Amino acid sequence: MAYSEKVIEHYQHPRNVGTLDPNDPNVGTGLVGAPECGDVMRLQLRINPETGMIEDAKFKTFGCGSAIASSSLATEMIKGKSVDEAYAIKNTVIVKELNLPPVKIHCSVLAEDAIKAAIEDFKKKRASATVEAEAVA
Amino acid sequence: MTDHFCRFGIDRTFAVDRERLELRFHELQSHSHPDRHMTAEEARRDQAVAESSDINSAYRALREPLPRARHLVELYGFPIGEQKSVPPSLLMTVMEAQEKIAELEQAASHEEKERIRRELASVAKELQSRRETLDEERLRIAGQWDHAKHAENAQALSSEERAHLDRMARLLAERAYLETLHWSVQAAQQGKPAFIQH
Ligand code: FES
Repeated sequence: MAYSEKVIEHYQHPRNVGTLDPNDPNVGTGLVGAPECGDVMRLQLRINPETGMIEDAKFKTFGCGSAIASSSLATEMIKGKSVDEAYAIKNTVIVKELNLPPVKIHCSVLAEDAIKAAIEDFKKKRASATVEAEAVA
Repeated sequence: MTDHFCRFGIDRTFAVDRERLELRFHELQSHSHPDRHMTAEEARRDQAVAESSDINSAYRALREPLPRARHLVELYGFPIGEQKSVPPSLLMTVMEAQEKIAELEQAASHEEKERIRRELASVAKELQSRRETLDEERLRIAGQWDHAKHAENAQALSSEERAHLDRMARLLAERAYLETLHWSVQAAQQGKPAFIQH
C-alpha cells in the first residue's frame, strides 16, 4: 500500500497522541472500531463548559497508517472549534486532505465516528451531571 | 458487487469443498491465462489479463472460511463495515490489550517485561476462548443456512433468513476485532514489533 506523503508525515509525527482523564466531567471519550479490519481508535476532548469550545484533544489509535494519520489530523482540526462545528466534520474532508485511496476510506470514517462518539459522551456526562445537581437542589 | 460464487459456478454456501474449488480455479485460470494469449491481438490480451485477475480475487475471497462468509453476507446486502453495534466491552478489551502491548515495548526492566508478558498470556487465553465461542455460533448458523436453498435475490429472502445473515455479519465483525488483536498479542509475545498490516 503506497501512502501519500501527508499520511506518512502524520504517521511518523502524530500530533496529540495521549490520554486525558476520562473521569474529568469536561472530558468526552470516544472509543470506536472498524469492523472491516478490527482496528480501534480512542479520541478524547476537553471541552470548556462555558464556551462550548474544544480546548484539548488526544488520541490513541491501534491501526493502519491511514487510521493513525486520520486521527492525528482530526485532533488538529477540532482543537479550538466549537462542539457543533466539530460534530459536523465529515470524513470526506480527511480523505481529501490526506489523499486517501478508496480502500482506506473506512479509516477516515473511524476518525469521524470517534469525534462524534467523544462529543456524545461529553453531552451524556453533562446531562447526567445536571440531573444529579437538580436532584440535590 | 461482483458475485465470486457465480464466477466459480458454485452455490452460495458458507462451507465449500476446498478441493473442488481449487480444481475449478485451475480450470478457469488455464482458460484465461494471459500467456495463452501471447500471440493474440492486444484487446484480447488485455481482456485475458483482466479476467485472470478477477479469477484470482474470486479465489482469494472464497478460499478461506472467514472472507468467504463475509463475501456471502455482503452479497445479500449486509456489509461488515456497517456493523457498528459490537459490544463496547469488546472494543474496551481490544484497546486495553493494545495498550498493554505498547507498554511492553516501553518497559525498561526485565521484571516489568515479565509481568506484562504474563498479563498478555492471560489475555491471549481469554481471546482464544472468545474466538471459540464465536466460531461455534458461526458454524451453527452456517450449517443451518447451508442446509436449505435460498433465493439469490436479497429482496426475496424471508425475515428469518435475513435475521440469520444479520447475525452472521455481527459475528464476523466481532471476529475481526478478535483476529486482529490475536495477531498483535502473538507478535508481542514473540517479541516482534507491533505492526498492523492491512
Ligand atoms: S485498515 Fe483498519 S483503520 Fe485502516
